[in-house]
Amino acid sequence: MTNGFEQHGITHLSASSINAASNDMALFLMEKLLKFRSPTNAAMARGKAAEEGIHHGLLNPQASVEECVAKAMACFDTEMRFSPDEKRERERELVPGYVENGLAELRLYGVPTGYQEKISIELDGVPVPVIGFIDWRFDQHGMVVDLKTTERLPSSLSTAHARQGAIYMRAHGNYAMRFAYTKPRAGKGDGRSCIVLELDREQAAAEIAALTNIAQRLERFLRLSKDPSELLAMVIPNFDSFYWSSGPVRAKGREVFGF
Amino acid sequence: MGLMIGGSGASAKAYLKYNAKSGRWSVRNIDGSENEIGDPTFAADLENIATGWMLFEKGMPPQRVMDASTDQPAPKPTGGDFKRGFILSVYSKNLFGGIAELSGTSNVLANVVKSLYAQFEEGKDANAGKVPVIECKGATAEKGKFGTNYAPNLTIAKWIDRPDDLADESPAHPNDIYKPAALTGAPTPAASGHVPPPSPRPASSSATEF
Repeated sequence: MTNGFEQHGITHLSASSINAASNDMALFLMEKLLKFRSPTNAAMARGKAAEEGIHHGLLNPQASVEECVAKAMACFDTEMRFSPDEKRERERELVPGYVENGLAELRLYGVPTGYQEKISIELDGVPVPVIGFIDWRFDQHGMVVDLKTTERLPSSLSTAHARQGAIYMRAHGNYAMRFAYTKPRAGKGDGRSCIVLELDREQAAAEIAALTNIAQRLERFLRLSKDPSELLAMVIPNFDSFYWSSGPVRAKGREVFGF
Repeated sequence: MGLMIGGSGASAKAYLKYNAKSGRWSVRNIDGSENEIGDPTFAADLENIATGWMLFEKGMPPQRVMDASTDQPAPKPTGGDFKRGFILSVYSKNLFGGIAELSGTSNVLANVVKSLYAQFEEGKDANAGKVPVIECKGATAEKGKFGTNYAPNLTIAKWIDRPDDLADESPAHPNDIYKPAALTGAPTPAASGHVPPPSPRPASSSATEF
């Protein structure tokens, strides 16, 4: 019997697709079954740009911050070439701060031994792999580090990030998993511009169990019908969610769901 | 030892709430309804009171990083305006239908609870295994720089055997309790905040050096 994923041409899952499915099934189905690709927005582009700049600075310890920022700005401009996102200029102004602050913290880790490596794990009873791409691996510390750009430093890991980290951790044996959150300006209260949080191993195990559960449910749901429109007719989008905040995504949602 | 809360110091359940601005008590019931009540009398599990850091922000679930015990304060979390606060299990069949949670970060209430805890510590040896019954008799106006607040007049009226429904355990969720890495041997939990960079080590132990 064809499994639900195969039935719809889904060859793999990822932390973001599982998180999307658990947060807004309607959006997940629109993207996976109708092959709708959400356009890059300015926040996504600044994340990618900051990573590019910091990555350059980590691999080249002698590189100046200005050089790293230049790399980041070039990346941002490339990503945003065709984007109509009105937040473009605002986000662009913040990119140098993200790079400088993230670099100040992560250069203390030394030079990464691996980066942008594809990982793939199997979950019990889930017929497709879960894949991802790590930001940096530091073998000298037995650690994987993922960068997050944010305007407000968190005090704890969100469920979505913990699940992403659990996948990376599972793919790296007993490596530790850390998330470096960087913001463009130091906080007025605590003067902090970067915080690094480490995923607890027990929580990682719990998140793997949750991911497995969610993926199995997803497969069962997708198995209900070969017809995407039939599955889309069973779910209700939450247009208040930030997932739908982009104009093109909202417009497509209106077209697909009729309101 | 006193509690490290207050101005000078560092589901499925009902909630007992106190509004220090109006000096009024209310109960949020399990079904979500809310009703105002008069000065309450209730058993309070002061033995298991949990203290720690709390963050209440509009539109977000409350965040808590609770002390491992009342004399082992958790480090202040970063990333928000966390305040010292407490969680106390209270019990009244009549008022809450059983257990309710009284919690908060308000200095007015925290200072009252701190004083109540001092009374509890004085009397607990003579009342081993029992829990105090707290009685509220009105409130005292306190003028401060943010206007007048009303501190409830709470005292221990008597001690009773622990009610069967009032479990002898911390009211804090285990996930909210700060666990120092040194005690658990585990990596620093996320809620404890920033982890410093690792100390430098050779990239590979098998690398040959010349």
